[in-house]
Amino acid sequence: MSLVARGLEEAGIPTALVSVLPALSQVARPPRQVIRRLNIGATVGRPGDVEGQLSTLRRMIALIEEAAAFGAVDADPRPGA
Amino acid sequence: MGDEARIREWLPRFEAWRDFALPLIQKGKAKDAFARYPWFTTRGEPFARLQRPAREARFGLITTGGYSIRESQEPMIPFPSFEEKTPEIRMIPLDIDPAALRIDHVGYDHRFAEEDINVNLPLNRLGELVEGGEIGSVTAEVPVLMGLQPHVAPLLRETVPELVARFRDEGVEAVLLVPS
Repeated sequence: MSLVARGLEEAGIPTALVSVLPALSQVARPPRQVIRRLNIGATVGRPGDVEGQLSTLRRMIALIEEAAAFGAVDADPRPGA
Repeated sequence: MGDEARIREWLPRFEAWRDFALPLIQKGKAKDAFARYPWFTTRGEPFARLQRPAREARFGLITTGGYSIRESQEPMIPFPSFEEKTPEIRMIPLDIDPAALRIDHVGYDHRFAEEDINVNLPLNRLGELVEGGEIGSVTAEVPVLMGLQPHVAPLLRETVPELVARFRDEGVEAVLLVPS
């Protein structure tokens, strides 16, 4: 999906990718990325967690509006951080 | 070096990996196979800027969740393509009844999406963001791909240009990407 993001950006369309597997998504270097600590299969948020799902989308939209340069990342804090 | 030259340079490494990986995958050792996958990326640092506030802009969404509509669409092929095969796209209407969707992706647990489609395909949430004035509008249909596509050449040569053309036709100004 990172390659799709890069292709869209190359064509002038800004993007934001959400990832729960940053070790995989990062290798192809997406231009903007929100990293969530969620399960594979529930990348946007947990089932029924409307606020959590909206939060992920809002963070993606904020990255599209506000990121200053390629490689912008908004990551959930690590546990204990 | 342009992207096409990079793809041509990458292909022999991919083909060598495929010869190594397929026997392992057939033995159920996909993790060992993909540990040596020759990752690819395009050149440069592409970065486009939104030309007006999100509350006025038209958004698109892409997911690689492997969804299709029961009865009216062919199911997606549920396993990775190692050949020169163009990835499939299914167009899912924003107002689809989630019960009409089937999931053929083998790479994740479907229970979350079966309980609430918005976990991977946030149709309701996007509608709420429009209604709340946080984004201007959303396309009426969402392109859905299948994840797990190790052969990136047809993705880059055919699928990405097709997605760009679809979004341009729809006047899309920004895209949210949800892998699965």
